[in-house]
Amino acid sequence: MLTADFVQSLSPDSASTAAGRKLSGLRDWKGLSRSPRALWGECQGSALYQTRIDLTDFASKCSCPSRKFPCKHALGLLFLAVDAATNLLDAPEPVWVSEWLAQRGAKAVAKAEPAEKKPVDEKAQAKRSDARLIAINAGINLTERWLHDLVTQGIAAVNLDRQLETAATRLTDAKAGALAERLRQIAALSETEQNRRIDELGYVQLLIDLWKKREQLTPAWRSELDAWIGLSGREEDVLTAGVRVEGQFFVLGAIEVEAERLRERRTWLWDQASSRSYLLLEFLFGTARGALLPAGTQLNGALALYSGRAQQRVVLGDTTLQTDVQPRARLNFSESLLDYAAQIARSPFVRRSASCVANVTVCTFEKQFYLRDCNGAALPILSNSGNGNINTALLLYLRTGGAACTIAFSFDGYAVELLGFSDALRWVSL
Amino acid sequence: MSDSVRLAVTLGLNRAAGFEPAEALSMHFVNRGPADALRALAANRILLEAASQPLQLEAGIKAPAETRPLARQSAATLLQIIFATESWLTHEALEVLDARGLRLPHAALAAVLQTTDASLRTKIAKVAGERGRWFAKTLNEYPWLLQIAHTNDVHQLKVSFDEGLLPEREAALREWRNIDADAARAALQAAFAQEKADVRVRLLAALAVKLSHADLPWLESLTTDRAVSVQHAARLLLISLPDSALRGRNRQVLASALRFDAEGMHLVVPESWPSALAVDGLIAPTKGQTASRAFTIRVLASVTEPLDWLALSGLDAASFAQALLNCAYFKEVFEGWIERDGDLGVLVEPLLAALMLRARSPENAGKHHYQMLRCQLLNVLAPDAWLRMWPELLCDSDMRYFAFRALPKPWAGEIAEPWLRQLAEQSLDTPDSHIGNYAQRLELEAELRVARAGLAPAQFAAALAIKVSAEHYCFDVIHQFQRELELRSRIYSEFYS
Repeated sequence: MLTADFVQSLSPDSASTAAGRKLSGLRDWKGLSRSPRALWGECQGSALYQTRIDLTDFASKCSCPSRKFPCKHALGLLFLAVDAATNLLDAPEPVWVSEWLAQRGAKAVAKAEPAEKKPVDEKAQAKRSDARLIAINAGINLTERWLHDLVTQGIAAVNLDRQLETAATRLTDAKAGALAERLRQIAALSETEQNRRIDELGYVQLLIDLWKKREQLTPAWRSELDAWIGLSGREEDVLTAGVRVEGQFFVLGAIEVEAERLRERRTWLWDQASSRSYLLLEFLFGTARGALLPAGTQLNGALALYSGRAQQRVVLGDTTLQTDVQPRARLNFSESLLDYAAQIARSPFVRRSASCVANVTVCTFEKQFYLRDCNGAALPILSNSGNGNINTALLLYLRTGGAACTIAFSFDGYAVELLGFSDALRWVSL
Repeated sequence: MSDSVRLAVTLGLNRAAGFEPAEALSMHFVNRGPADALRALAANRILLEAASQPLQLEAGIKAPAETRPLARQSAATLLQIIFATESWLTHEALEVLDARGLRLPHAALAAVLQTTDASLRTKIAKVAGERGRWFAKTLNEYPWLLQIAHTNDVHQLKVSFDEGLLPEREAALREWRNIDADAARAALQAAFAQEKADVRVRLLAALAVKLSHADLPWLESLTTDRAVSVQHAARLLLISLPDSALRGRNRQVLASALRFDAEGMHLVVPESWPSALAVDGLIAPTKGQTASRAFTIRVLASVTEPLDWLALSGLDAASFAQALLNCAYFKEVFEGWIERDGDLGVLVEPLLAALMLRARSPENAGKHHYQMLRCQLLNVLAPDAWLRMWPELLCDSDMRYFAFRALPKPWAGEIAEPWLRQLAEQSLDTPDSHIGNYAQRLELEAELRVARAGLAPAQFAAALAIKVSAEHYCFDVIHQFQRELELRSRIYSEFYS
């Protein structure tokens, strides 16, 4: 069932939500109609915009020049469908709707049927692969030398941030993108996390050690290492060859962070049966929308796992979306921390793991927000966590007023990053 | 162990060898070289993370139940829209919410607390509800949520004045003056000696609210305060009191300088800074500043009440305004009055009329300072004067936009109705005659931006009923105005229906 929260979760930002809300009045629309597979209408803005929604996946198209997806007109139409559904009369689809739906259908079919592949030039492929390994080897050797010099001279004697950036650039050039990103994340740690910055350099040493023994590693460890260095498998390969996990996966929430020239979106999925969390990682350029799974919904179907030890990162397989569901939450933080420890045991390089715990309150201690479970165990909340400008810990504190609720978060061994919570049986994304 | 290895890595393994090792084990890693030291740190971190244990904390205090009801869902949605994208409606929405005895939804509270507009604080505090007060108490932040929660509660105002931050103290003192002027002054008097000079100056300014003869003795005593700035602030207030000795002395200085004859008004002051003017309240030029007649007159105007000038002239307001405008030092006198926010009273309207007339003469057209002075007068024009002057202001193309901006809100029916009629007629204009009239479009856009917030709720229906053809050259502008007005009208329909 279409709800206002669901529509809100589709919105790219709060300004779009508000703008969409403003356009949810009948005065703004002409020719509002629906068919079993679509909604459409014409919105009077500075011109007359034709807006259409595909009801199968709530994808939209609008003739407005907005670069946001969905645009405010599409959101307005969806809000209108929630608030005043009776005003959407059943009607035959006009050409501008049916053509669009037909195009979408054709694209979906094309995607499902892989294009006839060109014969693979195995020699050239092997040559490229060798060249890449040589480049990575060279980059990693340089990084190790730099790291040892750094530790021998002492990190207090250098500008660590600048050195990390230089080393990261060198690794990017050497095609070891994931390791480069790890160095950048160390640089991004705040001054107050100095111990962690130093310890994280240790992880870089471990990855270098493993890389040097790459040929002797088991396939699972080799895949794991490759992922952390920057040799991830292709999504199509994961879909065809990856281990499939069938089940019901609750969408806990997503965190979007700006990386270099792109956005990294981490969507956390919660296996309702096993209480394991899976990570859907997307790198989006420009205004790309990606999967944009609404928080608080459930995916029923299959996920394909990337190979490796962590068994955390997934690609969406054949799934259907279900609304009006609640997560089957853990009972306390002890269970969550055991899950986290199990994840570390699978791969010590994993940065985060998500969880969902019932009966949690937000409290404060020495000017810091904490999540507290029913046993009094408390985990600190990462300051300024979440999306947008509003401090999500403060928002959660205000909204819950010290009352217990089910809360989803990701944990990195230090603090939690808030994802969403259950408020009067509705799932609210943070 | 990990701390000493980290210390070694921070200092550098070369240097760390000279330090007393905290633990033999850590030194073992250090001695084996950088790779082993780093491995030790990573291994230690993995163990720590895998075995991380939460803190044990006491349960926090739960927020009390709300005493004010929540607006219905559609009204809460409207508030969400206003806070996110329509900041021009925020003040009005909060006022209406308070007037209806409602509170903000908890989800909206976080958004409004981020506001940097301090003028919204009092209004937010009134509708923040128990959750807002609980939040301020438990976090010990946002004290203004607690302190201006009930502006008519004298006890609360006293707490705000005693414990609040300076802006809250000023606001509380002003409110308190409105309710009980003598008690508020007594409280300020009691706290005054302990305050810093800049704080004393700002708090003293609050006495302008309900300033009366009862304040006179204390203000007189402050003219010998240890800080010159406080003396000056006290004098500014004393000038406004008709029976203050200072005002009397300044009036005497003015009387000796002001002359009227057949040629008009004259100000007779010496070229250099006169010793006769070096009485209290008249600021001598600072060292190095050349005393000039113009400067002296400006200072004299700033320490005398405009109405004293009128009384000394023996003229009616219109004749005095004309005489002043013709005087060579008109600009200095006027600026002196404005500098101290002098009470122009009955002089405003004749002065504005005289200035508008003067601005129209070819030799004065476009003079920047005339424009500026007229705008300042618009801001102090009394509501009834607006009605008299409005037709003339609308005809003045230079003043029209500024007049719209300064017009007191909500617009009086006598002003709004003709304007709406004009807009309706304009909307019916044949489009061809205006194609390409960009300036006219900009002018209308600016007026509509003011009108969207200025029209009274009773005028909404007439404004929304205006029909405009899609081919009209300002169709999108008028349509946008109607949509914004519709949003504003929803504040009333959502909260009052």
